[in-house]
Amino acid sequence: MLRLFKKERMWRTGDLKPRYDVVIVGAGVHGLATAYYLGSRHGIRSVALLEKGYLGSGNSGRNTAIIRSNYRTPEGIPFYQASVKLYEELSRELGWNMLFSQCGHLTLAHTDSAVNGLRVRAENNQVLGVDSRMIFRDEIRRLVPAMDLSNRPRFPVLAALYHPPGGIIRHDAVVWGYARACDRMDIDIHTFTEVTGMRVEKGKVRSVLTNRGEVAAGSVVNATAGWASIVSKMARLPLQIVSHPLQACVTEPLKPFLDKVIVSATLHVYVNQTDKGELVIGAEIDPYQSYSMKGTLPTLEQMATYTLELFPQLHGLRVLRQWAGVCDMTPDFAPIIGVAPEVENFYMDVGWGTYGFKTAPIAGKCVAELIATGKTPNLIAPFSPARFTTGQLVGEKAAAAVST
Amino acid sequence: MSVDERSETIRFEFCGKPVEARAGDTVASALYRSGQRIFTRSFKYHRPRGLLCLSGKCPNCLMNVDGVPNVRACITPARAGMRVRHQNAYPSLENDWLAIAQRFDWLMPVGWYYKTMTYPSAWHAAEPYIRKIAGLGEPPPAGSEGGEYEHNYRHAEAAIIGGGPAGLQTAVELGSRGEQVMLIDDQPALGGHLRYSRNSGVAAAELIADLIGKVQKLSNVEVLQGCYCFGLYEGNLLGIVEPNPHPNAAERLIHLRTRRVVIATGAYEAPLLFRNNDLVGIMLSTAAQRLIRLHGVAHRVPDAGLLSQAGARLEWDGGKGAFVSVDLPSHVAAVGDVTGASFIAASRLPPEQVMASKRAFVCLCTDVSSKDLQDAIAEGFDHIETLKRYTTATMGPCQGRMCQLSAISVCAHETQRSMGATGTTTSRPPNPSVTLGALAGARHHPTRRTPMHYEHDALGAVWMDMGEWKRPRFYKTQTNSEEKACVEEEYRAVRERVGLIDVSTLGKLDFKGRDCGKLLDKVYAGRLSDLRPDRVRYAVLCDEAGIMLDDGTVSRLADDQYFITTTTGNLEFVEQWLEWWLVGTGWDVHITNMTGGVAAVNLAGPKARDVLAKLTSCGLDTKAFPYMACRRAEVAGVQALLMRIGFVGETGWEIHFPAEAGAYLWRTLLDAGREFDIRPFAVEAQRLLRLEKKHVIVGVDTDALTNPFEAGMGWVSKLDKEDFIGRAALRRLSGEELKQILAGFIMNEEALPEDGAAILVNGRLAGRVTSARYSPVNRKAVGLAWVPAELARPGAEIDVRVGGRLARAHITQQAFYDPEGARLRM
Ligand SMILES: Cc1cc2nc3c(=O)[nH]c(=O)nc-3n(C[C@H](O)[C@H](O)[C@H](O)COP(=O)(O)OP(=O)(O)OC[C@H]3O[C@@H](n4cnc5c(N)ncnc54)[C@H](O)[C@@H]3O)c2cc1C
Ligand code: FES
Repeated sequence: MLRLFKKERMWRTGDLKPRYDVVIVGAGVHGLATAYYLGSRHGIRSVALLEKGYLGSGNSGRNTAIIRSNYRTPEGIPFYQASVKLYEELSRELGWNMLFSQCGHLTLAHTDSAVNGLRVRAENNQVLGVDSRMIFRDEIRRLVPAMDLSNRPRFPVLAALYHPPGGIIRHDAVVWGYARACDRMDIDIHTFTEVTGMRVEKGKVRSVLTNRGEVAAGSVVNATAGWASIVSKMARLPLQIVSHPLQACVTEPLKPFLDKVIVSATLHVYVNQTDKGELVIGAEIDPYQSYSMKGTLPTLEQMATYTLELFPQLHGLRVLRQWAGVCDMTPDFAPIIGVAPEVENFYMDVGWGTYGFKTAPIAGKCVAELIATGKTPNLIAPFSPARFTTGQLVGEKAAAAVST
Repeated sequence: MSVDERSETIRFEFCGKPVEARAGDTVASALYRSGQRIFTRSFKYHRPRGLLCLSGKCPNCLMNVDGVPNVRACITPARAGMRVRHQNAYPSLENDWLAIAQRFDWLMPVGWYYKTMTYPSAWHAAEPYIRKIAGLGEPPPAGSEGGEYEHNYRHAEAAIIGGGPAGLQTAVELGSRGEQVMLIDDQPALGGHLRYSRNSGVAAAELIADLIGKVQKLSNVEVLQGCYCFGLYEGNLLGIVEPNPHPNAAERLIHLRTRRVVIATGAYEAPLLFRNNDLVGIMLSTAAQRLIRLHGVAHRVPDAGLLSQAGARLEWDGGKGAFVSVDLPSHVAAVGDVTGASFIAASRLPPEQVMASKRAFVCLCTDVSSKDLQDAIAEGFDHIETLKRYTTATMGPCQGRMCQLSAISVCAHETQRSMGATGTTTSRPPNPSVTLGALAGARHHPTRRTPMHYEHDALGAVWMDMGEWKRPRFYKTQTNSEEKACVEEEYRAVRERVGLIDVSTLGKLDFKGRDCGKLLDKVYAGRLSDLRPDRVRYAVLCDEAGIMLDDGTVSRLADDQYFITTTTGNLEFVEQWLEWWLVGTGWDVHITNMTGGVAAVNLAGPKARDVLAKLTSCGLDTKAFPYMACRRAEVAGVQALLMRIGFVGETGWEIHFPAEAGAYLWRTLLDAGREFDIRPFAVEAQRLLRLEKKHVIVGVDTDALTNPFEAGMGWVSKLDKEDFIGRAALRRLSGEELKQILAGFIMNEEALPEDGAAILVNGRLAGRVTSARYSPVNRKAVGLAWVPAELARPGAEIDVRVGGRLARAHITQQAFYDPEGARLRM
């Protein structure tokens, strides 16, 4: 209770030190989680996070914060599941409430083929121990009484994949919680510090150059999401990534009427109502490559159109803000985690596309382990950068369309 | 418009009681006249709030009007019979039980919810209650609709946003130069602040009248009165909302493209910061002028939202006491008060006077006080963007218009930075807010129907969606309406006699030109340039990674003409893909999408030839018309393209012909087949028929990562061909060991797995079923499944999940029906 009234600084600011054991580029949730697990699990505390903007200014502050593990592939499911488990304990572990609401997550199917696609996920989830099942109109109606389940919509809802542990988290709170915990371990967080280049010698990054000077580094982590290709190029490593904008918007608050996360791939939209009462609506990625973080009218109109297909009664509800983030898309919709043989101390935790918020705890934990021990944890082995040369792609793209 | 005292009174309902209003009244002005002083209760503490801005910019008058929540009562015209209700207060605005929250505001310091309930169980217990208290208006009940909306698209050389003196002046200037101008003004009448400002006297009135007169004379200046612009998007696209464009529409969204935009949105006033600054009765000075001529409790803020959306930078101008826009993009200009031109610093509260009080409200929308901001800054949220996110200040329904400047001044004061260094938060569209309805426009989700649609209806079709198309799934008969039995009857007709299916939904592309073969060789994995005229070939399209994108048939009609079919769902993609690869080649190829203009049926079964022979003079025996040949011929007097192909595994012809003959030829074929007991068959039967033949459906049995080798279709790619899309990847894949293979299986027992069922080997997840059906020939369920490559040999056993239980099945090599394909060639 007392803590409620104590005014502690969440994280401090200070000068860049000349050298760190680990320099992490990008203080989004992935960079922060990596730093946190390096410090808390491996005692590596000579760590700096370099962030070009304010804390959480990248996708970690722009996403719709859906957390779930009902993925499709045998590689993906255990990985996402491990992340959900970490999230379930994270508020307590960090002493900071991230408002993780496991309210339940429904992926809707409006066509035969979508029903089959969801069934594959339900089956694989069940075999691998994830709470997930197919439900049909009657049960959907019970769970989401506000949704239009009649035959009026052009593509009526036929079935849904129901994932009770899925839900929503307060994304900024996760960023702040990790940052605070890093700060308490004397890990340095340097905001407004942009990495502009790297000194690479004999297959190693020796130092990173920033707008505030040069910093020597034992290891360097690239955790820059939409900017990952640019930062990797500094280490002379081209990435199999294209960057697309992803947009979302938020409406005025209403009294609670929807307490499930609703996703529809056919309608390219997902919707949930926050604890404050606002509706958060997300779109699929824009069909063109761009680094633009400006919202566009056609995408906003699309989000509105499809939301009204599901909830026609909301036609008078007002949209307050729309925004965009830049997503790093890989060819197989799976991340790139690990080291490339060409530069032995340059670690990548990128390719998170539209779905990487939910994975930060487990990815951070695994990357930290990889840096500390030099051994690749099994959970991330399928996501190694080498797969693009061996052709062993991960099949998560098959389930993608709207994939947050 | 002002209230017309002489006009007749109308009545509307407020919380069940009648209220009188006159023409020109808004809901708020009528309520105010009737004695109503509290209009809302605040978000967190349920403090009473009264009218503040009277211009739709603040959150203080949000009400439920005719079932629509969060309506700004102060800009909503009063209409007879409307039903207005308060929101977020129980039982009434005057007496709200949750006002008790004010007493406990000390228990809710900024960010209290992050610092408490850190145990998952505590949070799970508390969250439902927090949700219940939060929120503003009641959502309309499920099932209620209403509100028609529409979109339109306009062009102009210049758009001027704001019809005050500056905007009018600009309109006259540009208009006199002959430019096509659109002037957009959100007020009921032109004139801007001069309509009500206390400084405006006779001279101002004359000035305005003069400008308006000039604008009206200019036929090239169009005024959109009472319309607001909510976004200035890339490429000078303006989003504009016109309320009530006509009696049948609630709102119209105008998409306006212009060469230039002039922003003349003026300034507005925002509340100052002092204790209890939110009390009922405190109005902004302009509002007061508008209503009761009070003054002195606000600072002026340039209404620069659109400018920053356009990419202008906001810079603090100490002399003016305002953020002014600099670095405007070349196609955007600003005039009038929005530039801060007429500002004097006196209107801004000096930072020293910023006081820390839980009751000095910075953000009215979300009940954030100056004390909250100070605390947050002390905790390290000292950047204006993190401060916003942590406290939620500026994130309410007014989108920060009432509080942004106060928030910045508190932040600047606490961090001892200048206003300029503190800066503003990013301005994002839409601003002002827009309804989902306006954004969505008219409900327009087209349905495509084939020319035979109503024939199917009459035959008892049960419909399914396939992309935008409607297709019959199966036909109910007079004796049977159960799917399984109907499908089996349709199936038997094709296997034993003859069946007819409408395949008009196939994508159809006509290729003409000398270089068609070159293009097809480049884009398709197979070789098509050496296809002889009058022959058909199956072809697969892969991407650069060797992944199968689509399949279809390619018929060569002449040396310089091909006809290609695509799958129903992929037509648009395939057409674009082909056009894309054609660009820049200089090849002589013209691609025409024939899909809508050409109907198609497949007539199949042992008696297909007999039926067709009755209607055409074209030779149909295997010598004259062999398997995988095509011919142009008349069928029942209709010019048609006949292809002898066999997706369902029986002798058959796919017949393409002009769509306008669709219903006629469909009926004629059925009539001709009556003596052979022909039946129409539909998608479900077709799926079963092709599954027995192990014919793969791209997109059903394959997914977004499947290559031809693992699908058992390596033969479709001709690696010895000159370079083509996907060749490098396919070449590499051809030498690699496969990890998984699409294989056929037969169940060992009665069970019927669902499409998508998991496959386990030794208890471990090993694959999945893509299609499974009960096969009448095999008297067991058969199917296609992805299995590990080492198991893809005849006889290997797998476990398939059926209803959560495991059932045994074994792999087969051959098709489940007529493996030699003899029946196709008969
Ligand atoms: C609209 C939207 C909705 C989404 N919804 C979901 C969802 O519901 N669920 C989900 O799991 N995921 C979602 N995502 C994806 C998710 O947000 C991201 O995958 C995740 O936040 C990535 O975290 P990160 O830490 O890697 O990246 P970021 O948070 O983007 O952090 C990278 C940081 O690197 C910094 N940076 C870049 N270049 C440099 C440089 N040169 N020097 C220094 N710093 C640099 C950036 O400023 C940025 O802060 C969504 C994304 C968007 C845009
Ligand atoms: S007063 Fe409306 S957002 Fe702050």
